[in-house]
Amino acid sequence: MSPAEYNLSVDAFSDGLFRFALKHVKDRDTANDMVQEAYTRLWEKHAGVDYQKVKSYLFTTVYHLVIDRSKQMQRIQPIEKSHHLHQVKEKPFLGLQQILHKALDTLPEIQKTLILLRDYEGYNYEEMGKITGLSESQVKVYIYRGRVALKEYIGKLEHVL
Amino acid sequence: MINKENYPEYMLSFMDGKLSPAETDALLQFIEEHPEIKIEMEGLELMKLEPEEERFDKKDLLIRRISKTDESLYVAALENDLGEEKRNAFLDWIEEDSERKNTFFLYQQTKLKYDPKEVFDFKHSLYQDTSNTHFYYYAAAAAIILMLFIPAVFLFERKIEGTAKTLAERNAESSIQHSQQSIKIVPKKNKMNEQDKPSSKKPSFESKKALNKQETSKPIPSLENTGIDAEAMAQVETMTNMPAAILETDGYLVSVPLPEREENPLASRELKFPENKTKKYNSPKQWLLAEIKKQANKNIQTTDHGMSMTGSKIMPADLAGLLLGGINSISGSNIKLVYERGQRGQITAMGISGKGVGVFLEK
Repeated sequence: MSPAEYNLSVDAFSDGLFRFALKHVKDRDTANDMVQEAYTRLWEKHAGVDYQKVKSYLFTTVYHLVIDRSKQMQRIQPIEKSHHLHQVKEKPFLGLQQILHKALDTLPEIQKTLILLRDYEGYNYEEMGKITGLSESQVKVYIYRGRVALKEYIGKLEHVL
Repeated sequence: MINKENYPEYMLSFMDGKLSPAETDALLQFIEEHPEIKIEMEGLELMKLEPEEERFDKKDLLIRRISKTDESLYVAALENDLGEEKRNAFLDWIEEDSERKNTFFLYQQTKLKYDPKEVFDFKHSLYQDTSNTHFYYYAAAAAIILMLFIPAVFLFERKIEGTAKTLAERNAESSIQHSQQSIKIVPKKNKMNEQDKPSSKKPSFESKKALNKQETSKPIPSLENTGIDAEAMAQVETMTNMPAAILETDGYLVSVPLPEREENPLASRELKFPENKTKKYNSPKQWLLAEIKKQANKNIQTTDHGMSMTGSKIMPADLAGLLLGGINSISGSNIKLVYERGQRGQITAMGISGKGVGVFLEK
């Protein structure tokens, strides 16, 4: 990858990376640091990275940074930990997306990661598997569980409408 | 082995018609043993009876008989995992029942949308200049620092040489007692008061430790026109527990001599020469300079006030610290760099090496 392509990748992916990191860490400064760290690592190896794989490289890096930070903060949840679901009570001041993003925080880290990659970035199962180190089947299962949990969180249809 | 952890995977594969006969049998057996899942897979009895050769023809029928409690089908439809044929059958199926429609509508609402206003604000700090302009900025800055300080350091070391023993003794006696009042700061030559102006043969700096009693009793020279912040200098002393002396006031760097290398409790980061870098770099010095250059390229900026920096990486002060301390003094496998960021007019960063401290002062 050339320096020009590296700069292109900044334009193309830094916003998405930032949003992905921010959704996990809830702190803009930390999310900014993670994005900068990802691009620093990319620049160090840019000569050996194919531009077609840059996005995956960056998201993989940020994903690992998120996991490392979770461990540091001792807030990481076991991957199979059951959901702590709470039905949404009537909160007419919350929009659907706000409710959803709140629901997202109730999911185990891995489900949250996969649904963000799926919905924000449109990754397919194979790509998500490479980023997270899971098999496609595992990705499918976690997506399934995440969707069910989100749907249960949303609750009754009248809460959405 | 199908269990409660992985059965959804098998269910999804079953919906896709991808299970082998053996796996299908295992799934059916599992569901028999778990009534609660059996409810989820309502209509399963049809699958048991389904002759293998007729499987394709029955797919549509199969989908139509899937219970509305089967979440996996909704998810599969949501994720576009169903083929066109199955998806159409699924859509027909949910059209038959308003509750099914509502359920699928709920699933559709679980698709997250990001806020397009949430953007990364620091793209400018990530760009790499393909024309190497930043490198030349860096090189120019480094050259200026060298031009300013090599003569000064040379003169300083000559001055300190004769008094090193005394300095060490005095430092041991009065380590924390260096107060702002006792700092001897020699301001920029052309702005000094006549009474404070050293003779022309003297270097334009003096170490507090090198001062005799008569000198320390002199009033503190005014810093008003020197561009040097007295509080900043006091801060240097407090932080380093070392006497401060200005080597050069024309620029933004202030040196603080260290009589001898010692552990500094303020060291906030330690850079170790990674073993995996030994192939690329012949020495810790080469690696460290490359690291600093890399950071400086990205973060250093020139302003009306000289150099400034952004971000939280090691910065020009680190370089200054190395230069002032003498690059050749780097030995062993690590060097400690200390930096602090402050407000305008105060110390913005400080680099410490084996023999000196470089302070980046922003006016």
